[in-house]
Amino acid sequence: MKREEAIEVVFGLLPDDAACVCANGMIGREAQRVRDRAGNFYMIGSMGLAASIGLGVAIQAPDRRVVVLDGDGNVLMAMGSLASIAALAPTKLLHVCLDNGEYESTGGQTTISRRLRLEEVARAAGYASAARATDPDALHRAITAALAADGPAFVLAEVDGGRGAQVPPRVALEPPEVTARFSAFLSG
Amino acid sequence: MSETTATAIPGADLLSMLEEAGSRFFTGVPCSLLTGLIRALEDRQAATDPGAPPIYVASVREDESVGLASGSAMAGVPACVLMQNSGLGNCLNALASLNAIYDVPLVLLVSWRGYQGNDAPEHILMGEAMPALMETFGIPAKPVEPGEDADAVRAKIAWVHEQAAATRRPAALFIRKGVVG
Repeated sequence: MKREEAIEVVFGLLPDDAACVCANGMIGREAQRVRDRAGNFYMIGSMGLAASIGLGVAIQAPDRRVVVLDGDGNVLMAMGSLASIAALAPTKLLHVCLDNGEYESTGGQTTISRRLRLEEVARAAGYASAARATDPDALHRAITAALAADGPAFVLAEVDGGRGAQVPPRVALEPPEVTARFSAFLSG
Repeated sequence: MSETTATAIPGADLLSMLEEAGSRFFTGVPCSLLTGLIRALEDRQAATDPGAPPIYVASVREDESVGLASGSAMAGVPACVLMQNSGLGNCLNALASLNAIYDVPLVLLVSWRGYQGNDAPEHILMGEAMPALMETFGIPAKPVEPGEDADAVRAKIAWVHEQAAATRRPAALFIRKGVVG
């Protein structure tokens, strides 16, 4: 499936009050293009930290749905954060990994994600659930199931690589505007 | 200057000072120089209702600590990150490409291993480079020296919180050996 199809499925199922921490590279850019939400935090640097930022939000706002919209390169870079999420076990945290098998924003270099199953790493770390989806219908079912049960949940979506795809525009908001909007959203 | 435990500030007292100054959430990776403070945090965490947000999270890497603390800060809970200065190397990109550009304040308590070259070999280079490194990254910092009394330490803790809040950026205290009891 295309990355934008996967993000459309996720955003289509999220409650309005869900916070969504979007990883750097193409993911935040695509998320902005699909639906710019006040609850979206677009990380443009600090590769690897979407999961820990989302975890920090989740532990301070335990009643709020928190989604981490992550990528395979990010998850591989900070695999220790899978352990931290599993150990702290925030029940309303949903960790989505859009796995395109490449570092797309640096030119499409191959990651090692096609040679291991990141959802099984999350499961072994102790996430409450872990699933892999290869098409939009399966992703819809996996996200629906994850939102209906206590987490933390990990859902990996296999998405296409970037070759030939339209490059989404850069995040339009300046970083301080992203922070201010996100913090205001969380305080509401 | 003395480095005896008689002049050290008990960890529980330091924790009180940090909370008085505004920190509400603590995370990091330990250093032996910070042992008493981390023990006080672990004690408080053990006494915290398991359903309530934690006051302390033992993180697995210093850049993760910065991410956790930043998420906490954006959720309205001011955060403090504790680390050994060796961990600065693990989180410089987070400080530069997250906090420095997103207006996310953090208080950093960084132990000063390798001070004046008197330490194990793996700490010497970072111990020497740390002040200039922090200056290069635009992070205001002050050292806390062994033998400083509680009022002096309290004033520096107030300063680092004021810096972080006023600039909406990280600010740091370098914690030397013998400060934390």
